[in-house]
Amino acid sequence: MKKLIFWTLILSITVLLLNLSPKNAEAVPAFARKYKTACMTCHATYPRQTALGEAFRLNGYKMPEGDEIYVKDPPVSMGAEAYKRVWPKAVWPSDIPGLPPISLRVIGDLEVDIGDTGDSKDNRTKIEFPHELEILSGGSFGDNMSFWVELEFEEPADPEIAFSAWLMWEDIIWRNYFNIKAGSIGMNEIDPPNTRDHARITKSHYLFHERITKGLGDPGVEANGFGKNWRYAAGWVKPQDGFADGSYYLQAALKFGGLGFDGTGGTTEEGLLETTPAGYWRDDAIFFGGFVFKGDDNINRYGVDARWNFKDLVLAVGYVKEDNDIAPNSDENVVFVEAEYFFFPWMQSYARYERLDADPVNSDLARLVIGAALLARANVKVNLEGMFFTDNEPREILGLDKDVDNRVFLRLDYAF
Amino acid sequence: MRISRGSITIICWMILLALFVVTKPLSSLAEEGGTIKGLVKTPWVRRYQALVYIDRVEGKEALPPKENPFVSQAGLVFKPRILPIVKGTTVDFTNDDTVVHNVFAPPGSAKRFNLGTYGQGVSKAVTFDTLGEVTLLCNVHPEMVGFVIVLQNSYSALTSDKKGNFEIKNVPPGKYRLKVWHEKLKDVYQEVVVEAGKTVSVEFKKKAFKRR
Repeated sequence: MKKLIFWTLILSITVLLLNLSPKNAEAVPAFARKYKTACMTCHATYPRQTALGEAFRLNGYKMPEGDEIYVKDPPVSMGAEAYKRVWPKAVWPSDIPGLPPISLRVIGDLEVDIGDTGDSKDNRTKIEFPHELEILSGGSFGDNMSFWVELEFEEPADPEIAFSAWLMWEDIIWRNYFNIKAGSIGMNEIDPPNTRDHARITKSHYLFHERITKGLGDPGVEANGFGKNWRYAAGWVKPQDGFADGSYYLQAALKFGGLGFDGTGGTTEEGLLETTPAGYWRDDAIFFGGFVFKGDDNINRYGVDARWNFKDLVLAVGYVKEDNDIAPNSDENVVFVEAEYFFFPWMQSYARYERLDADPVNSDLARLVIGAALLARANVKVNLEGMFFTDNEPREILGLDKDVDNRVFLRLDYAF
Repeated sequence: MRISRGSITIICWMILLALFVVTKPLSSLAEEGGTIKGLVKTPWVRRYQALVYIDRVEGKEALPPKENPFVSQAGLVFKPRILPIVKGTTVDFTNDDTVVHNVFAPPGSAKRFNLGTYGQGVSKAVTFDTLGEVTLLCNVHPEMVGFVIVLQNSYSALTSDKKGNFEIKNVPPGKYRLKVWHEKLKDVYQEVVVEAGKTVSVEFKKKAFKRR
């Protein structure tokens, strides 16, 4: 009965949202609709952003250097700009999105256990469709305010619902240097800044996210800012329930080469944002970054990463550590290296090696994630991926269940 | 040698004709102005028009028109959005909607005024006696905006397309400062020399413009 109610609700929301979309709309997410531009303007194999997409995201979901020029779906004005001169005798002017800025993302998985569990063949295959449904909404209210709302339903057998939302006030001190964000801070953000799990192209999460940084997304307040070559975020978050002390975090990144975090450095003579003719994903640059999370639960997390984009190749390396002050013998740390390569605009292959050293003993893991992300359409992605453990102590030594085992995945992922 | 009367008549007419042919173009040159044609190369003109105008023409203070231009409030927008006028012009503000409207100029405008709220079919007049930009707002509908640009002379043109093309005709020969006004950008200018009967081309490059 619960399942029936749940699926009725999901289908009703889906039908409602589809009917709100323009009849002639191609299947494109909200930002693509707003600017009447393809996904590839901002995404290099979504959800990973291109350099322009990252600048767009940091700028509060607005095009850097003159957003208004590019908007094709005019917003609804909540006051002409000249009303700034009338304030405080008038409400500060802004605007709201024209069309409801809602996107849907549906993810389904086929998983095959290829480990030597000894089970019969019928028990090795699992299908989850959908595995995940995301309802996303984001945009801006005028020049210097932006918002984000994300609702995730995962694994229908036992629905896990994640909800995050935030509002950001920008350009408080000098342009881009100091912004304030309030809401669900950090969810999907408190990771090594240049290898954020939320922006991965693989089906599998980063091991550091699975084991160390996942769930660091409580409500709070964050100050952030960015320039051409740098960006930072510093925040305070607190569990939604209870009166526990808050946690603090700091995240920072540097970039050398390529389009700046602020979108500068890529402008043509005509004032248009430059796109490289060789490949929309290209942005030759080197990144360095790190984060520190001082948890109120006496568990602290640290991480550093580096990434090198060179034409069609991406190389990254990182280290994430967890220190448990209460139980020092249960510390964990993950080191990883990864490589991605664009064979074609629609085909990006990848390989990632990750190693988890954990306490207590007999908890170490090392695995290789290898596969390819294929864009059947700009908004339809297929991942063919294998996960192979080179060290699997929990299973081999502790005899844990076969979920921690070599497997192959086929993921279908589409968004509109 | 005697020249007949008929021959003298013919010779006189030929002289007169020659004089006419020679002097007519000269007099035309004295009356005919030049043309300034060009391009405002900023992507902002795709969104909002720019106004290109001659800052000052000495000895050519333009007189206000006999018939008042008007700015209409229709469909909850000011029409036209940008109205260039010469100093001393009286503009009629007419409410062509079925809802009440208001017109006022906020701080920073060359002329401050507030016409109060008024209903359909009512028209109110304002005389603009100071050079500069006057922003028009409506305190009933905050999203409405318009601009009256008060100029020293009548030599101006709005960009005619999204590429930023403009043309100003019949400009008296001389050296002038040509300015560009845009609601989102700071003013820029260039010096231009206009010759009678000729067209001078001007281009305002994107790099020259800065956001307000």
